[in-house]
Amino acid sequence: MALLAALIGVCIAGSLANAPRAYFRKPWVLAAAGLLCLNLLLCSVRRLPVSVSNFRRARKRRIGAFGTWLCHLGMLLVIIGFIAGDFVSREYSVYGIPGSFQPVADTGLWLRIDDFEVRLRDDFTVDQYVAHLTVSDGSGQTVSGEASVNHPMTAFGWDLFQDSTGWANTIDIYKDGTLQRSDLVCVGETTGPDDRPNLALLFNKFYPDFAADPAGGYYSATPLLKNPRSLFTVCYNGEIKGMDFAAMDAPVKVNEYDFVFRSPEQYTLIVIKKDPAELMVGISAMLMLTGIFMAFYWRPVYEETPVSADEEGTRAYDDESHPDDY
Amino acid sequence: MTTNPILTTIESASFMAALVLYLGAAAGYFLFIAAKKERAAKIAFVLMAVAFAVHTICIASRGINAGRLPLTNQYEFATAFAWGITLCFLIFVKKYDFNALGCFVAPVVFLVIGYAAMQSRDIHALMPALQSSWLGFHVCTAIVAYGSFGVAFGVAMVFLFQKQLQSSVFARAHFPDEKTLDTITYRAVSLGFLFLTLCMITGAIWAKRAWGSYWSWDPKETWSLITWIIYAIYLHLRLNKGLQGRKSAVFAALGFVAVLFTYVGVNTLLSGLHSYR
Repeated sequence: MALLAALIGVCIAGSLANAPRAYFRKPWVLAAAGLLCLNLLLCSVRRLPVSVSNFRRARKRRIGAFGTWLCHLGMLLVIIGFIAGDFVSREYSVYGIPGSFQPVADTGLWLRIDDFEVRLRDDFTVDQYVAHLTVSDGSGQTVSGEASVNHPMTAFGWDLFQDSTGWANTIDIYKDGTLQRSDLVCVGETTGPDDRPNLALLFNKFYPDFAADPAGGYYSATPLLKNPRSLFTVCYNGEIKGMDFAAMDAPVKVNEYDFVFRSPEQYTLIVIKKDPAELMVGISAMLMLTGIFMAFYWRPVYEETPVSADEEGTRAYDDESHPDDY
Repeated sequence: MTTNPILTTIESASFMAALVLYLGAAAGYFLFIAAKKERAAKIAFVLMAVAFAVHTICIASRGINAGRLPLTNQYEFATAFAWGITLCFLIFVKKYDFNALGCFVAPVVFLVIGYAAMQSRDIHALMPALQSSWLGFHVCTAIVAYGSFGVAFGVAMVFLFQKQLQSSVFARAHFPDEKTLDTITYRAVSLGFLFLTLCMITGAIWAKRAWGSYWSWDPKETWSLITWIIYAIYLHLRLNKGLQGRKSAVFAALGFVAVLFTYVGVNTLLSGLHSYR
């Protein structure tokens, strides 16, 4: 009980943490989880003979004798599976615009984004984000399919999730009228001339249908590409020197350089995951649920008084507090 | 989103009617306990039953109008939460012939539906993450769980005020003895615990499909786990240590405070993946 109470404290602190996932991987949190596992293991070991004995003595609903045991065992396996999955699962993210083809970290897979569409309703709210993908495993085998929110794609044992999206512009940098470089830059990213590393341009925000609010401020009237503008910041030696909007294909002059924003496109972020412990967690959760159901609603009926464990055991079956069936 | 004005009117009217009826029921139960008017409790129960029927019309009309299960934002879940508590209340009253339970349940229902009244009632189309068949399973199990815990809270409160209540002959005639109260609390918690577990499992399956991770330590998930642990402690203490009576009632009440925080507190104070306003 004290351990469960301590876990409540751990969870409350975790819910207030800035980075909950990192918090719940701290050694002392894992130690608390380890103690709970040990406790559940001991409970399961102690309960099993009692459950077997009650199973033998029961007249009806005999299987219900295993309810509490199954519940504890399921819980134990869920925690083990979850912690194991947290350490052995692999997760990568790849982002790109339609046509991009890139390797997925060290998985040996290559991902091509064949197409990406944001399906809009009449009122311009998003109905669905759909990425058309092709995955290659390096040996010439390919799998093509769709990944949308709530409908991940599976390829070569990996799950591919449509995670998020944003806007990207191609930014050309000219020096004295000559194209120096051309980059695909997503919102939040920077670019700059090759020969002036201390000069950077940050792509802050994109407005597909730029509009000015009479009360002040700017917004996008629709998500459609009707009047695109890009908000950017010029930084020199890490200091902000200026901020402005850029129209598409119109040069923005910064010293001897011209920055040209063009070809706005929506990129997609695809998350690629594999968790070998997931199946174990799923089966264990079902065991736990079945155990809880059996413990409360499929209680065995005895002809004689069932075996009663000590205070740590299963007093429930002969306790007056459970006077009748449900 | 285009909506049917007739259905919108039906929904608004039935919502207001349900709100007023729940208030009337709460007032009736208060009158029953304060002025010892037996008839007030009978009228209050009828008001609760009528409010439930009207409330059902409200939810159904919204569901038809929206073309989906109306369980996706603060307003919709709050109203469904109140509906779930009332449903469990009516079942428990029928099963245990314990109408006086309404003295503590009706005010809770009124507060929850009152919270719903403060939320936006605009009907929006579903965002992609909510377009899943798991939505219905997940939220419906939450409603049953929260409803059961709401009833357990009501019974636990009756238990905690038992001393004051039992001092009068009138109250003794209308409130069950401590043992029965304890058993009802236990059964309501058992039902809620089973459904809360189911709710967390269906939520995990859905989260896996939508976000790629079945458990992300999102504040709502963490607080659901906290609620689950509180009720697990309650059940362990009761089943293994024979905990009954006042302490048991305190635990059941404490669990419902965690339920309310998981629902209202997390949504208002902590942001996360479940922040659908």
